[in-house]
Amino acid sequence: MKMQVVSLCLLGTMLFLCSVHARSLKRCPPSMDMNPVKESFQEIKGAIQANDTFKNVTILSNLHSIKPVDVCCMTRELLEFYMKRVFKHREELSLQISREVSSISNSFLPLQRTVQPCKKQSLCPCSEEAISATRTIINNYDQLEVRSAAIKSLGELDVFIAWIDKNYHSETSTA
Amino acid sequence: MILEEISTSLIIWFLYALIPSLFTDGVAVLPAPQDLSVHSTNMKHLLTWSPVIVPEETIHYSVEYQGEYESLYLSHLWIPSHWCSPTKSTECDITDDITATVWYNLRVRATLGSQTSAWSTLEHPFNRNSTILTPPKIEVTKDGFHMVILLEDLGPQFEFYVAYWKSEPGTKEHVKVVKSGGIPVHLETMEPAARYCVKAQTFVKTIERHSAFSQAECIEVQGEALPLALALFGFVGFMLLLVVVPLSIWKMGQVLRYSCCPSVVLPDTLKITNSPQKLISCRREEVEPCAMSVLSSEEFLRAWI
Repeated sequence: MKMQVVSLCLLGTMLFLCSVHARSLKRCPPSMDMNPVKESFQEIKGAIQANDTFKNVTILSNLHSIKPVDVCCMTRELLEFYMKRVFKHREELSLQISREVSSISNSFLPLQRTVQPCKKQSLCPCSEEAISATRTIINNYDQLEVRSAAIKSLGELDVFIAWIDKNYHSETSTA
Repeated sequence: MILEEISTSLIIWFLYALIPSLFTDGVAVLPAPQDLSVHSTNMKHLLTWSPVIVPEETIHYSVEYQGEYESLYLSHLWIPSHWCSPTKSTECDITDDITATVWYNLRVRATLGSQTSAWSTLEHPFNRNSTILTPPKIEVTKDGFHMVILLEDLGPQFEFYVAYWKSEPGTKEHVKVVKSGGIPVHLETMEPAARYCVKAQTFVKTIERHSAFSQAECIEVQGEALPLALALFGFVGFMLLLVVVPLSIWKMGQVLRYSCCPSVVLPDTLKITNSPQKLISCRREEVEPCAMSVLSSEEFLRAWI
């Protein structure tokens, strides 16, 4: 009798832990349409990366180590990083590059709006590891002069796009 | 008196000096364009404005835009339009400038030589999700028993949902997704003597909106009448063959017989005439001279029979 009660308790605890874990794994946001960003970036990739004078430094250096449970948090943090730190620096960019950066930055706004409901529903928690990874990226950025940091971050948009594709579109074919 | 004249001359001189300076100032002398508006249909966006009229002069216009990002983070930044900085027209295709589904501010100013007008800004910002989506033009044809649809080409942002059904009670409607227009697409192989109908709508993924469905277009496939006609034709032809071929063979046989074996020509002495005839009978074994005798026509015939 006692053994049966203990077994039932263990089973109940396991089920509870599984539901919590499953809730944290629930994909939020469900998808991220990066096609407009990809198209605009392709137009300026060569020119931007040619202007990068610090080829030995990488700002988005730790994306490969982000765990699935931290993907939503990192997505939100990276979108905000680009919107508030990178896209604001348009001085000395040619008109063509400035137009495409405008297109990319305006395409990021709907992506941010896609992620916001996840934060409101507490489906986008930030673990200590995610917070630490974000801090590393910002430190990498701040070590460079502002214009060089912005150019390098713009050039690393392909790293960000590839990371999004891997985490959000790996089970479906990408356009 | 002299002082009055001098002061009047000074005033006049001052006025003459002032007037030209009004015309050399490049700011806000030219009126700004008015009545800015955006007309957007099927994701093609056109900004229009009223012309600035200066007699015998050609006015140029400049168009600039500012996306929602710029209005939030870089409010001083305006970007020259792809195709309309400058332009002589009073309209501008801003499709290539509006690249995200966010609010855009737009402004226009006029220039004439060194003179420029003030900027005239669009009263309400424009978002491309307000574009009018029209039902697509469709062309339904048949290739034998195959039903083929041709959808109008509206560009890479458009997908099409095509619904088609057999026009009979209780039949199910099928839906096919066509990724782009301008290319004929096979829908279904049709059954004979059946009527099929098709309609289509567009879907734009970037704004997540559909158009209304187009009017249904229907086509019919010919039934059994065609094969029956062919069968009848075949039967009649076969019967004709059955009659014509033996006749032809018989005729050919006749022709061959008469051409191979020509008819014998009777000598004059064996020809029968109406007058009594002289019959000459000769026997081979008799050496006696032939006797000539006159026979009557009955005795002649009896001799022949």
